[in-house]
This record gives sequence, C-alpha cells and structure tokens, in this order.
Amino acid sequence: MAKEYLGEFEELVLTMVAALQEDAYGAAISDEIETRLRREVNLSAVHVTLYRLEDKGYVKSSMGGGTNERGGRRKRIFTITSAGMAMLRAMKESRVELWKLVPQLKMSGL
Amino acid sequence: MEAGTSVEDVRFMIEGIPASWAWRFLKVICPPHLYEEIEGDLIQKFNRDVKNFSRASDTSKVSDASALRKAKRRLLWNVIRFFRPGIVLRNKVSFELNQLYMIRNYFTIAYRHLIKSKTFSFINIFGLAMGMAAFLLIVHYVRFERSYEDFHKNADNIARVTLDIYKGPEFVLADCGMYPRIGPLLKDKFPEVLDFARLSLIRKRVVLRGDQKFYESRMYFADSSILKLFSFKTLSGEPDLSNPFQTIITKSIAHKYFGRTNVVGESVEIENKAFTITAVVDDVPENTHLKFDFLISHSTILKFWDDYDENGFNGNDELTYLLMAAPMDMIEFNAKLKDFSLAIKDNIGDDRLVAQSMKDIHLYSNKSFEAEPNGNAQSVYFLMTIAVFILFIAWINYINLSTARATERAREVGIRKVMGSQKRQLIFQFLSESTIVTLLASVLCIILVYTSLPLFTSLTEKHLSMDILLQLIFSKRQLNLSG
Repeated sequence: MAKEYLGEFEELVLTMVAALQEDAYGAAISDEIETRLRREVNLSAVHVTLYRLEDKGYVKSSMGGGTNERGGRRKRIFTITSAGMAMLRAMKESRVELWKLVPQLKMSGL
Repeated sequence: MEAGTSVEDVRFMIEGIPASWAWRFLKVICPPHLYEEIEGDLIQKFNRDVKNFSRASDTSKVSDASALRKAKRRLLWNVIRFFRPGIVLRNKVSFELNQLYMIRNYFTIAYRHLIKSKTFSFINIFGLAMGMAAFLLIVHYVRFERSYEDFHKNADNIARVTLDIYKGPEFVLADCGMYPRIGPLLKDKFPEVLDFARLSLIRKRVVLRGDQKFYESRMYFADSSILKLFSFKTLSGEPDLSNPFQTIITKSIAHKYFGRTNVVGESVEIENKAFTITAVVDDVPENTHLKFDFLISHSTILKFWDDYDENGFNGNDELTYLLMAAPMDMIEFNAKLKDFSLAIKDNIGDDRLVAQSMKDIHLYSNKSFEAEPNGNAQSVYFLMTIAVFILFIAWINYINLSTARATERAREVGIRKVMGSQKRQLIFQFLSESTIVTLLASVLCIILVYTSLPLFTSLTEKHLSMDILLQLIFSKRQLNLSG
C-alpha cells in the first residue's frame, strides 16, 4: 500500500480505534460503527482490518481483561501508534483540502 | 429461558449441540494466537443480540425463545464469515518451507555422524553392500539356472521322450537317445501329441567353405518340424529343412566362414557334399540345454548312410521332442507311455518310454547321453537358501551395529526434544539417516556386483552379463551370450 493511501473501511476502523482509546477492540468497534453510522458491518471484517492495520504498523495491540459477558475470554485492545495518528492527520487534511474545492460543501471555520 | 440469562447458561447453550461444530470449525481456521479474542467477541455479540432481540420482543410480544434462535442464527453466520483469507492465511503457512530446511539439517547431521566414526560407518555400509552384492549375484545365478528354455514360445508344451533300459525287471540306465520311429509313432497314436522333432548329433566333422576349414562338433540333423517346436530368431532367410542338404546356421558361424550374415543360398561343404544355407539364426543363448551351430535337414541322413532306417528300431540315438497340445501332466502321460511300451514290446524289448517336460531337463534330468551336462536343482535350492541367509545376516548385522551406537545419540535426542522437536520429526530424522546409509550401501553394492561379475562368471562357468541382470528385472526376454 502506498504511503498516503488507506482503504475506506481501514480509515474508518483506524478512526474508531483512535476514538475509543481503551475500549478499542473488535466487538466494541463493530457496535460503535453500527450505532453511530447505522451501517451493518460484519465482525470478521472488523477483525481482519484491525490485523491488517497492525501489520502496517498503524495500531498496536495487547491482551486486555476478560468479562463475564464474553464468557471469560480476554479481549485484544488496539491502540493507535504515532504512525497511525500521523496517517489520520494526513488523511483528514487531504480530505478537507479536497472538500474545500466543492462549493456545496463549504464549511465554516475550517 | 428468560432474557437475563446467566453466563453459564449461555455457555451451556453455546457448547450445546447446534453451535458446537461452529466452535470447532472456528478453532481450525483461526490462527491460535487470535482465537481467544475472536471467540470472546462472538460470545459478546451473541449475548447483546439476545438482549436486543428480547427487548424488541417485549414490545412486539415475540417470545424469548425466538430471540435466542435469532441470535444463534446470527452467531452461526458470524462464525462462517470468519472463514476468509484475512483470517485463514494468517495461519503459519510457511510450515512447508520449514520442513525443507529441517531435512537439510537432517542430512548435515547424518553426514557429520558418518564422518565422526569413519571406521564404524565403513563397516556398516560395506557389510550391507557385501551382503546385498552376494545376494544379488547368487539370485542372478539362480534365476539364470531356472530360466532355461524360457525363450521358446512353446516351452511349456514341449516334452522329451527318453528310454529307460531294463534288463528283465532290472533297471539299467536312462538313455536320452530315442529310436527314430518313436517320434512319428507317438504322433499317430496319441492325439495329445501334435508334432515331433528329432535331433541327431553329428560327431565331429570338417566343415569347409572356400579356404575356411574347421572341425565342427555342434551339428545336428533335425526334422523340419523343429521350427514349429522351438523359437529361433531368424536374422536372414527363411528357415527350411524340408529337403536334403539344407542347413540353418547361426550368426557366429556365418561370421566365421563368410564374414557376414546375408549368406542365404550359399553353401558349405561337409564330407564332400554341399549344403545350402536356407537361413541364419541368432546364436543359441546360454540358457538352453540344446546348443548347436548347424541344423541340417533330417532327410539328409539317408544320403549319408544307406542302411539308415528311419522307420526302424535299429539304434536309439536321436533326441526326440514332442509338441503337446497342452501342458501335460507327465505322470499321466508316462502311464500311457508305459502301456504303449508294452504294446511295442517286440521292438523295444523290456525297455520303457519315459517322457519329461523340456523345462525340467536342465535342473532335474540326469540321464545318460544328455545333450549337455545338466545342472542340479538341489544345488540351486541350496544356493537360494544361502542367499537369503546372507541377506538376513547382513540385515541383522546392520541392526546390531546401529543399535550399539544408538545410546550415543541419546543426548542429541534429549536436546532436540527440549528444543521442541516433535516425536514425528525425530523418527523422520533417524529414518532418513538409515535411508542415507542404505542408499550408499546400494550404490556400493552395484559397483561391487559390476566389478565382480567377470570373477563370478569364471566361477560358475556360465556367461552371466550385466544386461542379463537388468533384463531379468524388467522382462523375461531372450538372454544373449555377451559380456
């Protein structure tokens, strides 16, 4: 993958990881996307994306605690790395740059 | 089943019948280090689904059981969705590549071990090679002895009639020479005798062609029917012995007198009479009891000796072969011949006709006046037994030596186990070491056999060539006198 290029879904998941901070794990991210964006995402897609992001070095993971709800299984918490943060920032900036060019999407204060 | 089901209940339901295969399936496809979190996420989702669907059912009066069912369906679907390249390929696929490097390591270790105790390895390998070589040579010989007459197409159906000479009730000797009249008589009287062929040995004579003059002793008068009984490979011409003064010669004879093989129609001189060559056949191979250089038409006999009575009982010195309709039971046939012998008592006195299958001649026949000195079936059996024993001893020797050294490797095995070697791998390692040793021994064995073949040939006084060995392996074809 080229430096400034992340798939749409990957970008989405990366953003959620950065947003959820300590609660960033597969099921939580999937639920958040479903509630916030009202978009059906499959759990396996989220997992695979998280692993890919980790391969690329944008997130790192560690095992967290288990809960009853999960039948005692531990969760894998993902945290965004500085590279990942830089990627997010870069993407945000490039998006905004492009949207500025669209007159209908004129945002105030940006 | 209420909405707020406890974890234990949920777990029980999950590990119950419908979903249990799902978890096993998941375990197979998931990389082990990711399995726990995936399982946990799926369980969490399931539980939330149950809660959500129950809540929905409260308002729409749908039962909790159906919520459970729906959640379960969702769960199964989610599990199936995990069967995707992003997950499956995260398993250690490079396992195959690892195996290759391990095998290379085994070879290195095996080599080092062999070098470490050179004398020992040499004894081991050489012992194995010697045993195998001895076995191969003996088996070679045994197979050769057993392959007599095999190249004749009708070999199974050919029998030789011989004469057991009696003086009154007392057995004197078994004579291979037969009265000339017997052949045609048997063909007439017995329907199972399809044809006969007589061969009469011609004692040493001078054969002349131009300035080539040699004594020849492997000459026979032969009936033209001999071509129907025996299979000869014709090199040139059409074999024909129907008329007097015709002859068939072998390749070496053609070269000896003419220097070439296309000599059909030409003639050689024997006893001041000219004989026309009708055909040249391939040299007679080593594995036949009937070896000849010249076959001369039987009808020529009358021209040589006026008092030869082809239909009489004057003298018995012709080898008589019968072509039977089917491989006969010799005991049965001999019983018939016994009766027949009594029937012609006036002509043959107390003597009896005895027939034997041609293939039995070389190993089992020890009569008088055989075509050539025969072999011995008993020796052949003994040799075979000895060969098997030698091989057996070589095996046991190898096992002994290897076992004696086994304890030296104990430490190595221990360390390998500590390093995480699987039992399977250890077994494979030592098997491969044995394989290497055996392969080396085999190569050495083949070299030994090849170089000792000339020595062996002089020992057995039979020409056994390397290509015989190969031919015996691949096919039962005509063996050539070479090497």
